[in-house]
Amino acid sequence: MKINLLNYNNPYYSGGTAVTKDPQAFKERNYAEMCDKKNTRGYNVNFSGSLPQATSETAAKLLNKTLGEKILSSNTFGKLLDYAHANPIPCNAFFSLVLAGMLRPATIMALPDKDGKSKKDKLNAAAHAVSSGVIGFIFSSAVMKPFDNAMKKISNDPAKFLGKGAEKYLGDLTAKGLNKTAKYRNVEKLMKMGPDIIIGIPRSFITIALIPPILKYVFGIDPKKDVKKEKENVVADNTNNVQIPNAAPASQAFNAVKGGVK
Amino acid sequence: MQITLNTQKYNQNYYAPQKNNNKLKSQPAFTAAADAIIDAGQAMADAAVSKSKFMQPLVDAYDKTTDWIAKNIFGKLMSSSAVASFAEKTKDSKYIANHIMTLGAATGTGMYIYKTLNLPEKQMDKDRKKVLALNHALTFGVSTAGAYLVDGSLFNKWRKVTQKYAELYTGDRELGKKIEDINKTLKAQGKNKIDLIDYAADYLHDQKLVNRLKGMDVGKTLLIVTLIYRYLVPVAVTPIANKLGDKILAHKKEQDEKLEKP
Repeated sequence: MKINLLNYNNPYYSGGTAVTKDPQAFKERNYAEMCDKKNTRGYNVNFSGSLPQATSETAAKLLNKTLGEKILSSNTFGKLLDYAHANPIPCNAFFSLVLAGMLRPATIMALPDKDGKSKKDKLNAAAHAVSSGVIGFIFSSAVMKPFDNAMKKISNDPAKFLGKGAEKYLGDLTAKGLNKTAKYRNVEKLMKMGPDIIIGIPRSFITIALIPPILKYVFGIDPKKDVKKEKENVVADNTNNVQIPNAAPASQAFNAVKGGVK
Repeated sequence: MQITLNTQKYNQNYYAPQKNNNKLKSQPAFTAAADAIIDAGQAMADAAVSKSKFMQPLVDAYDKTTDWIAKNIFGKLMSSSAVASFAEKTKDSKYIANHIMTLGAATGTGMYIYKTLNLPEKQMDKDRKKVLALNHALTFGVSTAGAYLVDGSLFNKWRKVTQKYAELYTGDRELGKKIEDINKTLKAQGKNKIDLIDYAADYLHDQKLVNRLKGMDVGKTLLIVTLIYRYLVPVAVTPIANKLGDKILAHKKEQDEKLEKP
């Protein structure tokens, strides 16, 4: 195995190479002037692997991109822009999911504790933020999908779906580039983002209604159980306070044992 | 600047260990198998969507639904006199998305305030309800003011970012200058100026770029509004509002005690 490896890597055993046998040819093939279209000196520029001057300049510019330019020219950023244009309400819910569902809980949990109770409050607040972010995104995406697709159909063929009333302010509905006019852009925003005013109300109700089961089954936090335990604690505290005549003084050990979450 | 890329491999076995070479040898067979699986999967998915007896009625029903929404909801709304008036009045406005989102937030906040003030006395006492309603109103006010302020201050900067994006998308670093030159000519002819979206639609005939530039505009507003409404204000303003509420409650308690004493 070791011998094979040596043979494999040794240029003398692995066949002829331009580097060792003909160093001049190597030099000429990689000579800088080979890039110049005017001076090819009998060689094929493309064959040598060199780029034409204009292409090499573009390549240099692409290589010298800043971080911001790299982000702007990335595929993900392009897809995000398509998403923001075609589905603004779900896109808004997606931003909410990232900011309110991920960044806010992280910030809440990173804040310093004032006392023992505030840690529990923080956990609850973080769970609420995650729940509302997830529910908001799912609800908005599901409800708005057919509406956004309908608006896409109008943008592709306005004359098919719009009436004479629209023709009055938009002009010829069959005209090319109608959807880039200022009036159309603003009306498009109103149609795409306006439903958020209406769906915002049922969404908030559904969010509030679904938070307890999500807290219980996803995060393992049962608010009802906590309330029950708190009530039991209150009852236990009250029974401890009951004065029984001629009873022996309460032991310190029993006083220390109390139910509930501390 | 000239870059020479040497694609010629003089002795590819010299630097490559035997282990890697074996990997390369076995790769095509695996890739072919993987490609076959992906192709088969894609074909199955296409068949499921386009030819499946189970899926096809659903696809047709969805298509009809979006057609109906486009014709009867958006079509009628966009052809109405109210929307025509909206289009005429807002044709020069750059903050339509902000106005719509503010309206949506106002509706949501209004609902929360209404629900809070109508909570049963058992769940929350009267003063606490007022403080919570004040918290909602204060959060909404600060968020709205902040969103308009940040969006307005970033207007020119974001226009430059949008231009940079268009330059990177088209690979034309002189795009801004070209639009300026066109605008100078148009101004001399007494015609309206064009913007990036007009240029992309009328000169480049690139609908994808038009949509993405619209996405840049909407996406910025969505991100700023969501960042302020859903992250910055809840994290920064809520503790302040809570402290303010506590102070108001403590002050009221003091006053009540003073009234009770004499």
